Amino acid sequence: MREGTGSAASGRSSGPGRSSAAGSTRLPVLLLLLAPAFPLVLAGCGGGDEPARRDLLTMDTVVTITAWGPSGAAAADAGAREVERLAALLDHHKPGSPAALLNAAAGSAPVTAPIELIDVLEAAGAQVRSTSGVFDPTVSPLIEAYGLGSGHPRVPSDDERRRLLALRGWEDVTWDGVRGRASLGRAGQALDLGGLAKGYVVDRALAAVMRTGARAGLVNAGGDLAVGGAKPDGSPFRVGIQDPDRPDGLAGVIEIRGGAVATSGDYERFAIIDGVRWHHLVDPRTGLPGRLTRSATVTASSAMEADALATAVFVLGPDAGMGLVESIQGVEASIIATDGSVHDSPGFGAFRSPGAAP
Amino acid sequence: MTQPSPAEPSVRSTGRPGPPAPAPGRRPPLRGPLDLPLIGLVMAVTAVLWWQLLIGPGGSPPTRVLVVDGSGRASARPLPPSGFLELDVPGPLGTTVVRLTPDGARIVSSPCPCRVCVATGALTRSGAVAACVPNRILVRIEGGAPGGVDAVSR
Repeated sequence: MREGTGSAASGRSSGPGRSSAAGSTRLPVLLLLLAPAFPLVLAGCGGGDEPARRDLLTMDTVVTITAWGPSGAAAADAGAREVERLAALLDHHKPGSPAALLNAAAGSAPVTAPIELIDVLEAAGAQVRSTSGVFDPTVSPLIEAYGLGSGHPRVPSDDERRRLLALRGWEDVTWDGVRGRASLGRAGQALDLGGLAKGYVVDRALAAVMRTGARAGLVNAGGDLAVGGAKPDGSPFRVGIQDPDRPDGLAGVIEIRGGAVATSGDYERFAIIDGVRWHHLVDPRTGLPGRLTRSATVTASSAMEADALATAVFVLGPDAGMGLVESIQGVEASIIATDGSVHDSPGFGAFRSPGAAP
Repeated sequence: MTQPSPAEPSVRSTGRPGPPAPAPGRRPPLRGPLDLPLIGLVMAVTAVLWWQLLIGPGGSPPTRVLVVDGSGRASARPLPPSGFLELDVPGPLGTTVVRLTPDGARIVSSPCPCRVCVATGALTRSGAVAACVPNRILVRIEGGAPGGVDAVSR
């Protein structure tokens, strides 16, 4: 080490004619010694730019708004306000909301519908058409009959199921965006706009977050989520896919830099009755829960589209579900089938995080 | 610290044919007995730091839990170093019980009808959330270094 000391001393004491030679010798050593500093500095930058986060209990789930950047707190607040505003309009479980009043007035005169409800009805109609009715909010009375959220789950009899299935019919849903009116044509009908409306709220809340100046934003409503902007450290958003069998486990991780992800699974809202799992993802064609799938994850440009398609793909199962996904541009999906096999659409692999399961 | 002399012998002592001798007053790199181990150590530390930053499996474990009760009041508690600790969290329907362990937390009982919150199971990742929506209770795991996921789609 004495040599090192001598060398350093010689560098400092050299005259102008020798300093460049000594400096070029020290440069690799200097870079070597500084090498550990680069990841430390990067980690420090990421850790020092903690995002602002807001949680809301609404629309029958937890909505978490995360915003990065100097305006993160204001942006997260703006997102939270937008969530609360829209939930008051679109949550059909909220007494007095336009969505609840629409259901209550089924079979009678049209009710007042704000533009946000009209937006959701139009989007729902588009999804009913694109999925050939596999996604259909008018199946709501039958889903309610299972009582999954009531604490008293039950299996409707075949007669009851047939009677409630007869209330299904998107053609009975009418709306007039100009006059701000909407109606359900037959008494007893009801809409469950839950999934689609949640996606709509996510998209609008993210827009509010970004409009308020966030560098990056993430809005997650019970697992239906959308992201925007670029995180301060430049890394993509890492989204875990719930493992159907382990509540705290992940079946995989995907990385996205924009757009939306939604998952439908049979593990979220279910009851075991006589050893059989009865869940809320009911096939509108049969009135029975879909039996081919454990979970379906869909990526799309909007949470509203991802949400509706995740429901439809779940019900259709791996074969028909992938057929639907491949027919729609900009949409990818991964399905975990009932037998545990994993089915990815051709473009889904590009999202998977290297090294993450499966 | 002494000023080196051009005649200092320590940098040219082998007498065997080899690389060209350095200019006087200039010491070639990688000649000291500890240089190579030092370089190896620095490279190893650098590699570990990059691994932690870029592909670390989930950052360091969570350290605390944020609990929001039915009135909207939030409180943060450290996770116990061993054993478990149960919190009675009041809400409009009654008391929701949250169990804290060294690894995380979970809702173990709730007065709500559907018990989705209990079925959520253990929360062990930083950022993981469980909620009893009817009883207005929210539990979030916090702390620990980043490196896991930003959100979970379920």
